[in-house]
Amino acid sequence: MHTHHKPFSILLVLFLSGSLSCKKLVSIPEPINTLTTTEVFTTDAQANSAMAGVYSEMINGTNPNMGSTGNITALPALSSDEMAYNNTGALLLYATNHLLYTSVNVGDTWGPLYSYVYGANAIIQGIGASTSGLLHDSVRKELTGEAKFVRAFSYFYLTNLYGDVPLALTIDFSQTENMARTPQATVYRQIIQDLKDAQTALPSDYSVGAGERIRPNKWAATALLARVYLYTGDNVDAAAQASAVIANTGQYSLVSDLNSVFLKNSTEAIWQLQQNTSQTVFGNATPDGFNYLPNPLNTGFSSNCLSNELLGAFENGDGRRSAWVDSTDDSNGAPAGTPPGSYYFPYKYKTGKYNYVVGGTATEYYMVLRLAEMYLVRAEAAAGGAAGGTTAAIADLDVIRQRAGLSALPPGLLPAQVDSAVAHERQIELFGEWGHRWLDLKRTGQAHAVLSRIPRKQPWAGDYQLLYPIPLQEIQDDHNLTQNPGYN
Amino acid sequence: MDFKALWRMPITKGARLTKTLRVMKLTALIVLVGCIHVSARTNAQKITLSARNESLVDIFEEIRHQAGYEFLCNVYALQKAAPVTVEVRNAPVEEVLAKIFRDQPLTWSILNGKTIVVKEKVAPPPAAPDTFHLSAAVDVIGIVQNERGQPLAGATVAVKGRSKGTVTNENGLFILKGVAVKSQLVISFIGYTSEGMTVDETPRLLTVTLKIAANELDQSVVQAYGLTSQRLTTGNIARVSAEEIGKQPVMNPLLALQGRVAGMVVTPTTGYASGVVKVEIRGRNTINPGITSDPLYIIDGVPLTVLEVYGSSSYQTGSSGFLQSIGSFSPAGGQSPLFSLNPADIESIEVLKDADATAIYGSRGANGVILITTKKGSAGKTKFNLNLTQGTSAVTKRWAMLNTPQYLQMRREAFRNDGIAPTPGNAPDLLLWDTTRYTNWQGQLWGGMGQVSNLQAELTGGDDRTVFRLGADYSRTTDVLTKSGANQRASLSFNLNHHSLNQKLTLSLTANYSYALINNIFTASATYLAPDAPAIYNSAGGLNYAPWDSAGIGYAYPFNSLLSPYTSHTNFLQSSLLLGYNLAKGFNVKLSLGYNNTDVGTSLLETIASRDPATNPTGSAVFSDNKNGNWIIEPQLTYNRFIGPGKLSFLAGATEQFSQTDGTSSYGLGYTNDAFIRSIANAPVVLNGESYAQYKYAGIFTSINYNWGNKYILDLVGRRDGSSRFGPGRQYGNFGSVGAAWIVSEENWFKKALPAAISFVKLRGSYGLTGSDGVGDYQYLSQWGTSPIVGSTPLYTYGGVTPLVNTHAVDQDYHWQVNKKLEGALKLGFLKDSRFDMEVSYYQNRCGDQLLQYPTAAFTGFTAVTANWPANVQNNGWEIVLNAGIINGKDFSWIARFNMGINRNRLLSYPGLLNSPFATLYKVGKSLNEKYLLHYTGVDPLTGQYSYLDYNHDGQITTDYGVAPGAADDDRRVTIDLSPAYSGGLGNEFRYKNYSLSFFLQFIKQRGVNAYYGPGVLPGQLGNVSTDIFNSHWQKPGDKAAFARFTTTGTATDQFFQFSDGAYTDASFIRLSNIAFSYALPPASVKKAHLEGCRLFLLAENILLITRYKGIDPTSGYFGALPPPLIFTGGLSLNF
Repeated sequence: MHTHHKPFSILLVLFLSGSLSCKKLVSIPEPINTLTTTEVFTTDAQANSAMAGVYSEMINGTNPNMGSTGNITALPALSSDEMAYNNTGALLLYATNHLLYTSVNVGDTWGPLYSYVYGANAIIQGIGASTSGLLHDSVRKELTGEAKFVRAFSYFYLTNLYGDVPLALTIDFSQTENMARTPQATVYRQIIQDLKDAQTALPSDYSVGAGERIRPNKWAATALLARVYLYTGDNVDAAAQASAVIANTGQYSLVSDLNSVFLKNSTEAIWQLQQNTSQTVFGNATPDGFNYLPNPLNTGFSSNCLSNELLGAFENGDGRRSAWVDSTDDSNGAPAGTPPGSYYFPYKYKTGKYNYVVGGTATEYYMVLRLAEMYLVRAEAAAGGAAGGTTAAIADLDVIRQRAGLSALPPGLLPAQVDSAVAHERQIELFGEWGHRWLDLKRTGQAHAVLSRIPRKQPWAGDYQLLYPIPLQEIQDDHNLTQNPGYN
Repeated sequence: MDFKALWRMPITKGARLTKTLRVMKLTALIVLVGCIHVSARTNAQKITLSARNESLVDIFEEIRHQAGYEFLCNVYALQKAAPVTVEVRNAPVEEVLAKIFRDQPLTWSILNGKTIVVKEKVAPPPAAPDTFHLSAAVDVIGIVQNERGQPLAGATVAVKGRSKGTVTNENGLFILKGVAVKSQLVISFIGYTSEGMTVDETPRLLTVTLKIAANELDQSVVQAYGLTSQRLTTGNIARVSAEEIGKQPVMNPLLALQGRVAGMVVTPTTGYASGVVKVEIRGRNTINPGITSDPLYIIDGVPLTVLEVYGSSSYQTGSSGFLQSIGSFSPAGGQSPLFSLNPADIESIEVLKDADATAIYGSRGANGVILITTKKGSAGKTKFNLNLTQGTSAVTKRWAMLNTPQYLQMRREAFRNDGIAPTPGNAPDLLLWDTTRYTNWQGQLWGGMGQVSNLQAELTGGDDRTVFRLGADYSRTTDVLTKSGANQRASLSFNLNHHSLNQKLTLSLTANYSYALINNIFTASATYLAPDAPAIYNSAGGLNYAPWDSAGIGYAYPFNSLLSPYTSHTNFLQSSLLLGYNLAKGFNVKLSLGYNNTDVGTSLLETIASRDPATNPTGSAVFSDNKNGNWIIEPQLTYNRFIGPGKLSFLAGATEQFSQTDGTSSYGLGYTNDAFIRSIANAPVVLNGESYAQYKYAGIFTSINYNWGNKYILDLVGRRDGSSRFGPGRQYGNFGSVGAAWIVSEENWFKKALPAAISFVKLRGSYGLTGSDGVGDYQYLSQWGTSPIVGSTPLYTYGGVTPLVNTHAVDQDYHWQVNKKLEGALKLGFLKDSRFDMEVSYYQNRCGDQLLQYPTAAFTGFTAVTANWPANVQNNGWEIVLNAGIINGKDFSWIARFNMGINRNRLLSYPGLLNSPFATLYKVGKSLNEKYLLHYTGVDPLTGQYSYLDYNHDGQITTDYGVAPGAADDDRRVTIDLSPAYSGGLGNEFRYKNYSLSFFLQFIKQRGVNAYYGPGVLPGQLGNVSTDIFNSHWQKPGDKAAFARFTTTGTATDQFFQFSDGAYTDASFIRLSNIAFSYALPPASVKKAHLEGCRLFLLAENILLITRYKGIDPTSGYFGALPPPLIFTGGLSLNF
């Protein structure tokens, strides 16, 4: 009968050991497919992977058909006078300036931009908190600089598209969860500070990207800083920063062949995003190439078409009209606001839907910052009062015009004429790139005058449409966040 | 067990035995020689003995050996036995025994023809007055067994009206000392009808044979870690039997529960047989739309835990089940885990609802518990049963849609109204496509007949100690959708039950294995397609993209999925082993071990042929593999004994559970040849994703049940649980409940006071705490992975560097969610054996400290963080269950069953609601399913646009989702609660001689989405509409119309419609959901065919719908959704 007590004791032991090692009973190993924050920022390579994560989201992100960043070109182009929309669906609301805060796609730029901000914040904080000796100082400095650049870049678009926006500088959600909007001036101050820090921290060459111009360097920070100064009315500093880039002729020069400007690592490129050609949506095409080029190239359908306003603005003989614009035969009619008989489309990138190859070799990268803009920034700054005045401005504009095969501007233009020459040159040079036209119309106060007359935008819903509505979910999730006026 | 060693022990090792037994505090010393119910020989055998001064025990052994008799005797008595000298040859046993016992101080008797009971001779009681007799006390010894002669261990033997009783030991034996003569004994055992008997003055060995209960009240019901009955339970347990499940031709057993359980709403989320089934018991607990209402599923004691590793589940769509990696592009949106279980293997499904029933599952009982018990074998002749079913399914209801001329008229009118000229870009159906074409798309896509085939085979048998069951099934259903593939499942199940010779060791092994093969395709909407839309295939037999491409809408071509097959293979193994050992009288230890494992492989092949040739397509394929493994160990100790006036049942146990879910997916991209598309190695580009989680769960639990004369029953449950889902210091939580029942009808005063027609009255109540850790794994841990969502497609490398991104926000502070459940119920039985019974219960569940994915704005980095929030949600309601054996004759019987649940959902409190993300969704005091809407005021006769009531008279209609509903400028002042007001079912079973007929009605009172206003397409846009809209739409000023003017663009008034009360309608229905008819061939003709039984049956599903709903079926919701098909099957059941 003794044996009968054994199960008893076994059970007792089991119970006791159970209660003694309770922690073990419910502790599981860390997941095999992820790392913790602390682990990530222990080595140079892993920290670099975290930075690559941000760029990959920027260029290869999952937003259907657009890529995360393709939206920043596509949506403002429709909102401005550059393009007309040849389809039904949500984007028509951008093209007609009848955005609703309930529209499903109003978060297409907000969410992705803030996810870059978060990624940048995580890197800045992660590196700051890391005590690992295997994360070297040079890498800490470099990656912190890149993260600050990305943060500034993202806030630049956030504040220009949405106005006052919450300025989140930490990943601690308890500090950010109930944030209110931050005044645009404060946002700009932070952008400038971040860019200055990046300028100091980043190398001047492209060694981080192994010679490819795909990781922002000191000059990328400088170029963006020039743009930000210009936007904030600091013409002197804008001109100074732009001059610094222009003066770096060893690294940057305008590409004389207009068809080669957007090639990967072109000498005009200050910063390009490198698409991963394996990704399924657009393969070796850039987001814009994929979105705008019809398929087949000269007979296919295009939903985003260049408008009468843009096409009419080209001067005769402008090389950019022939090199950067193409059309496709349209026997079925074109959308309102575009020339009949043809679809016109941006042809800056040559790889598109008609010839892209998944896994193919990329000949073009997605151009974000390029030298031509620096000439235009400096021209505008000079016309606005920076050193050199209108003469310097005309000289810079002529550099761009010359490349396009146009004659030099006549000397002795009146200041107002120089201003419109700058605006015109920006419209033509930078069309279909990163929302330049939309932002220019808004910051120069021309938006109402230019846009409210356009037939396809009738009836003009109101100037409140110049800021995009904040996605509804955001307003609901944060009771301190208010909607832009006019949207309800 | 060695027989000899056991019975010899008392003789040779008497001293030690006595000591041991003293420890066990037994007052009488009883040894059961051998095992009562084992009879190795036939009893008719003759006995030959030749002995001289042999010990009586040796003689017993010889008799046992020769004739298979077992001996039962008192060991002390045996020691008084004199040596035996006997000489017999081929004598019957009675003669032999008479000789042996002639000079012994012992008597004998034969029990059941196989057990010889030996007792001391008792002097006849002296003659005395009757009063003396009444007060005289005797010792009662007896055996409790079932009709098969198997002992019932743990049966209660109580002296009626006295605080006295005992519990039978593992051999069914009991001794009750000092019982007053003439007192009444009540012998009861769960699942059996209680027996009463009077103690007479002559002590004798009682044999009590209990019959399996025929009445609902006393039939056994599975509860957590044991059995109970509706009579004795203190908790709320609903049972659905194998018989009810077997009448329904469904592949997923969950679907057989629709309408069968009061307070439980079962909703298939898709029309696919393998699809996810949403189950909600007693209303919605959580305010988080991302958390499912899934109860805890336990199959034969093993929790079916599928970890959420990809996060695609939601309250609306239910849990995605087995398909957890992002690569599983299942057209059905997931795969129900229960699809792998053969309904025919299920003995019963018990649904545990209140705190008392669920608290022992502690932390995971918050949403209720569903216990699935598989079938066991039965002793006796080996039986072979074969069951064949064959049938078809079809969609019998269609929308009346516009024909081509009407459609073209609508489109042209819409363009006219808008002042827009049709262009090929905006009107390919008018300008590019052949406007003389007409296709009845519903006929094309829904016109098919589905096939239902099922083959079941079962082999059962065994003897008194070992029984087994083998089950096998092959099921195949094809969906109604013309082009889609089949759902097939083959399964094998095995069960073995054994107990040792001495009844001390019991063993139960169960294993179910199944293989499911599902071929599906995504299907295009049959209703939205324009009637003049081009044919599916072109003249070359390829997909007809060209007419869509020419309009620039090649991407909208709806039939690409026809050449993109989806396949899933599921291997499912579920096994459990239960070992029990009787340590001493009343003490049992049990060890329950369980293991289940699932492996699901899926593939979706997007062939080049399926893609638009104009886009120079390449093929792509996604392969995913999802593994889900789960083991559990549960040691338990039970103790049953009669203490004081009642019976105490004590259970203590511990649980350790481990689960792992692992999903991998491979994306093969850029195939240039469809011939290679099944091969990942031939893909030019390969991407891999992985989802992974582990889960550990540990707990200790105890339950104490005290039953005082089947009159007062108290049930206490306590549990301490730990889960790996919480951060350090937050892992453990305490849960428990108290339940009590008062069986009023056992009171003497009650019997006198009420008419005999009321045979049973029980009041019961319970209160307790259960919890939830349903927030996903590793949420307390900061995680960086190769994609923003763990398990989804990895981000592409950038500049050759593999990306790492943070995957979720971290707040380590979250802890167990606590649900408080309160219940009270009254159960009544009428007529003998409670032929009519009725239970009314009221419950109130409160879910506080809600554990949820708290929505956060994008600038926090993520859209949500796991946290507790002080919202308190209450569900309260009534449930009524009626069972009526209306007629119970020999030839004709009629049983009716009715259940109904009324639930009210309410957000009880929410401190800080107005400053929370839920401010615009919920209101305190209102249901979580409440919609806040504009009030629709009809079509404006002047403009033909929908109009709404401007509540705040600010001159415009505003839906402001930035504020609380109806606040500030918001005009949403009307509320509609989408929770069902009540739901239930009514079943009737008729039997006339060999015929039986049953039908089941399911009903639900609810509001739902108006089917005319589906998502997406406005009347006038590219897409067909119902003729109802066409026939009463606005055409010119002054028209009083039910539907707005046709438009191709729409305005805010059209957008607003979905936010108005016009978009909702009464979606209540009564559905004749099941009819089953069967005919059993008369025994005589069956015998001729050398069969045991033969039955023919006909089953039908979704036969009739009674509703005011304007769409074709209120359960399928929006316009264009596939309604549930009518299924009709017939079959044959053979028993060998």
